Amino acid sequence: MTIKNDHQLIQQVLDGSISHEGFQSFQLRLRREPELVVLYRQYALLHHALCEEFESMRLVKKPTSQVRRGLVAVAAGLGIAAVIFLLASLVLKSPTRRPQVAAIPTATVTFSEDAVWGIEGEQHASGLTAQLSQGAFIRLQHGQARLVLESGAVAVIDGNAELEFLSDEKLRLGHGRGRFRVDTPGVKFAVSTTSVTVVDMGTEFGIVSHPGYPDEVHVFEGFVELQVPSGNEHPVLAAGSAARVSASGSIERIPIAMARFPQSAPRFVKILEDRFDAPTAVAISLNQRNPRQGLGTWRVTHGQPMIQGGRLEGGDFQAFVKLPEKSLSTNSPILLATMETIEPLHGKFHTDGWAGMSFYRDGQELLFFGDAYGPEQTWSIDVKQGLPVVLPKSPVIGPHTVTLCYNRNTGAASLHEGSLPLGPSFCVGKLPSGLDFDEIRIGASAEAAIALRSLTVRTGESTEEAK
Amino acid sequence: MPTPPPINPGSEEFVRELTNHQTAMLAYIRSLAPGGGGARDLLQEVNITLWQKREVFEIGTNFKAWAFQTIRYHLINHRRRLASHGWLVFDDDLLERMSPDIEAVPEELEERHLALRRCLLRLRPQDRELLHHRYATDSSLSVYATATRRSAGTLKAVLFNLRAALRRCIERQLHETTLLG
Repeated sequence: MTIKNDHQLIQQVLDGSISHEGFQSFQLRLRREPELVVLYRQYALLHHALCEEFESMRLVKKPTSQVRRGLVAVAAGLGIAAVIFLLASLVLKSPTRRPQVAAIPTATVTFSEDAVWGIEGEQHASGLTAQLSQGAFIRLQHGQARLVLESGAVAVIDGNAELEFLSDEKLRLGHGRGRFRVDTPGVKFAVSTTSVTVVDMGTEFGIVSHPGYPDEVHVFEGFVELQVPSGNEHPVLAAGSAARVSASGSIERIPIAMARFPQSAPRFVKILEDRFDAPTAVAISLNQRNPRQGLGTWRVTHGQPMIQGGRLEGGDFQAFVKLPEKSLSTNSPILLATMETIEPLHGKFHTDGWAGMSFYRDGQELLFFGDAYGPEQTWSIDVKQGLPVVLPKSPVIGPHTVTLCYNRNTGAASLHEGSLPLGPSFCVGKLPSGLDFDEIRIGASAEAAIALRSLTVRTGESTEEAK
Repeated sequence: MPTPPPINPGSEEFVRELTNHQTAMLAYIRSLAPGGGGARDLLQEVNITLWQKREVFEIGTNFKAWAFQTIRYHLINHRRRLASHGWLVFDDDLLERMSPDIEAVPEELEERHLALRRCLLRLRPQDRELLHHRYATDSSLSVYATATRRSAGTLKAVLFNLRAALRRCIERQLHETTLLG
């Protein structure tokens, strides 16, 4: 049942003379009280009619006896005026009379070095950063993405995740894990999943959403309001609390788990880099050369790989260089090793032999990528231990820039085209977890050859959620 | 002087639909984004969006639904800008939820406007003058209060009662029309 105060309240809303808190409270009541919506509609349409009646007097002086014809004429006149304005502005494309078109919201996304992603929708990507237009959809397979909206809202998602940029103040988390923060006063920011919309009330919060499981909302700072499609109630969660929301809309309190949401972007460090692409007229031996970055010197144990003409090239050789001790750990489990290869001048990369990079520990070869030993002509991973070579579904042939990604915590190893940014994985294998390496080797067997412009090894933090 | 490009039949149909729905769109904007003074400007922005996307619209489908959806998206996307100009934009979920209950077709709006005119005729001249001041001028109520030697508080209360009475009058008329019809 409505009371007199409701009439006053609605009129204040329509006049715009209500406080922010009053409007929020009014909205909460509208969600719960259908009769208030009915009353609001009546007043809103009265407000509209009064505006039309008196504004039209301001615009058009007409005799009051021609009521019905006048109404139609005013409405049609305004509409036609609008359309004529449109046609004049848009169809005739007059540059001087073109109306101002509101700017389409954009957002900037920055990916971590180990990120593998795809973006659907309008975007301009450069390196690890992309400018997104409204409606763009981020599919993050691996790594981390940090999205900054023009409203000041910041979203950080960890792969595997999908995030849709609906507007400057609204995102949709398709699935995955994300942390969201808004510091800008007055911005009404919301993140929705299939089962819940989390409305920010000046806060920082995290959402976990995986298909087939209830969504989780964790509040780190401030408050959030939970809106479920089937519910009239909109519980508010405060900092330090968390809730599980099922697909049916039921809400259950759970302990907060802040550690599941990383507070900063994963850090990566380059532990080895060497470049061979500087033009040199004279051939230089690799042996005893200091890498551009890394420990010790190259140690050639077999053959004579030479640096000349902007490349390191050799056949039937093996060259080793040390890696820093304990460069991989539980906290820094990701290894990214990139080889920038080109076509050898002498010999072939793909042969029945092998050519590529290996990782060693205590003199034992634990992992290899490149063209592995055997008849298959493709990039591949050899996980050793007497196991078969891991081949891609479709052969990847020829000189490429290829990056190996190994996760010490999970043992997952994959090959990706490119360096930064990483392309999608084309070959996936599994090693024992917990491996560490102290040395790498580059080389080629007697019948093979390899030519390199550069090689880089980086290690960094993982964004994968602990299972 | 170059000749303007011809408007194809699809465009003519589109313009007809757009024209027919101008008032309904304006009422919809005023209902879902109250408090602002430039509903017509907002309508123009939506018109431009609709025109730019006219290729997407299929003649014969529900223009009103498409136009109203565009309005909702416009309100959502420009919430911050609108809020800074005094608009009160309902939350996204409420926009979606209330939309079917708020929408009005052109015929209903016309009936309501006619009912309003009949109801206005029953008011005292000074009350109609107050409504005229409120809806047809840009000056504040306090200015009008000074000019009419009444307090702004009194005028506010009168305005409140006038609108409550007009609402009752219109609803009663519409109810009677329904019974008679």
